[in-house]
Amino acid sequence: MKYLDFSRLKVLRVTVIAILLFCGSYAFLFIRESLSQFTDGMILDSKETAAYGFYAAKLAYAENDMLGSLARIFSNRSTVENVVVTGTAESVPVLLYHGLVDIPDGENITKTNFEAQMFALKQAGWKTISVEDFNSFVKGEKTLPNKSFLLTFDDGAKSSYYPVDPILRALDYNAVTFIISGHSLTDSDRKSSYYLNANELRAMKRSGRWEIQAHADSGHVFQSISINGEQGHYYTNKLWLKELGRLETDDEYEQRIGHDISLVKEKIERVLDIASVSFAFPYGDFAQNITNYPEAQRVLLNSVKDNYDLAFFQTYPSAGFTQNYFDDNTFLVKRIDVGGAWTDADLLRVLNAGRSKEIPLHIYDFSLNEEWIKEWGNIGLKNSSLVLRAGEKTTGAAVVLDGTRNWENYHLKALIDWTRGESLSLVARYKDSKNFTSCNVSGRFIRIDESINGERKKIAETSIDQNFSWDNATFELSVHKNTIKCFIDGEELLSVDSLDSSLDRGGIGFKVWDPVENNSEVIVNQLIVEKLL
Amino acid sequence: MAKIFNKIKKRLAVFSDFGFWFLFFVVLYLILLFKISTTSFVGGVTFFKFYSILIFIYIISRFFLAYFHRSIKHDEGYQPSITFVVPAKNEEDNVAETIRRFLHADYPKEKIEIIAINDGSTDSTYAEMLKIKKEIGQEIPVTVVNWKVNRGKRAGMAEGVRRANHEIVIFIDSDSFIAPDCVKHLVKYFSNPRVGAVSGHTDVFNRDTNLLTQMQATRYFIAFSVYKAAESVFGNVTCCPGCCSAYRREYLLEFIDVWLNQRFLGSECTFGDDRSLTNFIIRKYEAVYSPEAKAHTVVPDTLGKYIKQQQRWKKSWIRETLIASAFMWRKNFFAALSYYSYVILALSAPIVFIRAVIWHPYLTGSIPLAYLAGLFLMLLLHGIYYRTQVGPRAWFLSVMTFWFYTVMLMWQLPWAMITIRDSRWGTR
Repeated sequence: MKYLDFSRLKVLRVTVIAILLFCGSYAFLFIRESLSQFTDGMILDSKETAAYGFYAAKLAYAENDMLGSLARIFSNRSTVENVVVTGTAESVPVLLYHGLVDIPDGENITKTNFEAQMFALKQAGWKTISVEDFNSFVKGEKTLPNKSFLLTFDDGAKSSYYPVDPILRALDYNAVTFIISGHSLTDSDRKSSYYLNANELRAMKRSGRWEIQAHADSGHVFQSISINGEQGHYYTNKLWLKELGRLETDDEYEQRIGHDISLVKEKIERVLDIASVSFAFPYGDFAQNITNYPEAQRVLLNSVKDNYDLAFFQTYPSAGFTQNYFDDNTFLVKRIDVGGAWTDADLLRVLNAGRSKEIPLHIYDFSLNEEWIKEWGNIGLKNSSLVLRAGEKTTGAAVVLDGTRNWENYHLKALIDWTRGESLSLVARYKDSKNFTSCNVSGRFIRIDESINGERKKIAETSIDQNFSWDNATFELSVHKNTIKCFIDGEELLSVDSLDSSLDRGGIGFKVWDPVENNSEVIVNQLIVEKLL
Repeated sequence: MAKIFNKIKKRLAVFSDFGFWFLFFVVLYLILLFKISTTSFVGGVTFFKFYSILIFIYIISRFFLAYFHRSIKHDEGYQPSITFVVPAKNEEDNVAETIRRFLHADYPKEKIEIIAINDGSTDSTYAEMLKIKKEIGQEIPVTVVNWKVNRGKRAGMAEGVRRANHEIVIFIDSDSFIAPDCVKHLVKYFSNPRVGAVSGHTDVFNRDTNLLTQMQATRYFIAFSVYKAAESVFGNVTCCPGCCSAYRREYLLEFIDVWLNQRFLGSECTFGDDRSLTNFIIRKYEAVYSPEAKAHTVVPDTLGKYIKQQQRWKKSWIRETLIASAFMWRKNFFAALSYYSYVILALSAPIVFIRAVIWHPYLTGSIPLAYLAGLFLMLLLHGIYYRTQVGPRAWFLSVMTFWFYTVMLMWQLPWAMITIRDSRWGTR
């Protein structure tokens, strides 16, 4: 070490500088949080403005293309059909996203995909609406332009705002974010790096592009719901009280969820000064599937209804149509949970499938559309025919055709091969899985049922004398006002004119059933729907 | 009036110097904050966090050690005899001037001899050598060795060592020029018998030719005054470059034949002779750096030449690093620690670069701003240091170019690994 010079001056200088740098770094750790608001703001502002500029330029370019296609209006009308939107919407889809991710994780959507989806929607003529307009629409108070949709984000993650906002700004879209106030509007000084904080939410509010609504306060969690430590959703289960060695009582459950549901509303109104009018169920769960308390759904819905005008959930197979209808008069709103792997084309296909279909409708090739919503069992394609088959553990299968919810008077004719199963149904005037009517063939009987709010009853029945071959058979049904008729191979077999007035409109579907599991199948080869005047 | 003006100017110069030092520490502070903020979310991969922290510590420790590096005093009583060895091939432009500078060396003439080796030049290098021998031969003995066929620089250097009659052998590249006091500052370190090699401080001669040479000037200066100085603290300079370095002949003779016939992965080693020679020395002895022993060298002034030169250096670096890794652990703990840290950093750099600049942006579509800004800050730190040491020069521009070349030439190390067995020089 003879080449080292530890003179006092050098050591002193280095020591002083080292102390200064150390203190500086240490101080930085302390002020980082408050500093980061300032610098993050600056960095994000510039980043966002740059992103906005990029998207705006991209849109201008795309619109130029649209102008180009407008110019072709005389030569090819169909190219602009998608762009010029006229008329009013019969149904409005609600899209659900969470945070955007950089790297595909299978669950969440990537920024690139999201951007492509929004641009595709914009170019197809879709426009966003506000929660208020949406509420008026489903309550039947206000009509909306065709191709309106509501864009929503759950959880209030930073990644559902920062990458999204420039796109909304460029496309002139707006969105709703459902926040978890326990994370976003917490009183603690510790700022989350994942969830949006009050400052960010205020900035979102000011932008005019964002509505901030309720998701949960602390209810977006799983907790112990049995003595074995089984985990369940906070809102839809009675929790296991470990110290007391029992489940919550009815009252305790009701109070706990009631408190959380009103607390998030109270926080949003107090901290952000925003009217909190809608609520999204965490995990889309309102006890429609699993719960350890049979009354959970009633209690939960009542509690949400007491506080909010609308409650959002993610639509699931047996929930029927994917979109929300004018005069649905519901407070439960269906959302389409946009899958992590969906491309822009996938999203457009799903949205278009849910839009009202025109009658007459002729389907000869079922592979050309994917608009059949599976309610039950398995559905598939075989040689361009639609195949309904019971699953390994189900006794039957059922489908409905999306976008038929507003059909009124029609005649439905299906060419089918019924290969297995005890009963076969043609479904009509289908509003949801609890409200519909149907023609059923079962053994030597043909029967007309109606289901009103889940209560199913037989309104007509007769026995069949002939022996029909169900190989390439024709099964028909017609509904006109409150008259419903059933036909097999062109022969009217049954008719009734006492259909409940609540089933004034509704879509079509098929169902096949057998008491034995995995033993029913029907193949639909052709479908023809004609209007009845 | 002018006097007062000059006085004020001088005063201001102090402040300007101070200003740059202040800037230096501001940049250091920024880097520190940058590291604190980024290491918390580099994507969570431990390897990259480790890299980020290690490179920071490594670079800061270089500046720290360089600052405490002390050179020893020149002792008039210790004046060993010296032999200049100048191997040259096709250097008709510079070789005469290179040798002429020896005459002006501030050293007793009777203790100097010169051996110039013409290594199969196809131009008039040999004639130039004879001419300069005629010019200065009366004052200093000059031996000119003429090889008709090119045998390589290594053979030339070895020939010089064998023919030398004096204690200290000083290698001077045929395109390098020594300052008058270079010699005495080189040899003074040999008073310590542990010292086997001394590296001089070489700056770029054609600094103002273009941006490329300006950038290399910054690079040379930093490489010597910071990195070699830091290594020198432990007597562990890993490369005493051919452009201006002195070796103790007695120690060289121990392994000169082994060195001459060095083979790596089956092929002859035709470049990185200086690094290889130093490597043999530091196995047993010490190699140090003398900041006062100044020389200038001509550097490549076109991108093509520069890339080829860098490619040769990178190859020899890989080869000699592998060799040195085998014994370096026996040296001083801190010396070994710095050495292995550097090896890890140099080998990981292309991986980190590819992830940050290609892989990550490809996946996410984002611009690698954080990485490029971090890299820029690091180079800025070096640039400001350069400015504080050498005064007003095109330092900022050269930082920018340095930054640009670092990014552009990142592929060189992996490429050198792939082509390491190809021992051709390419045109220089």
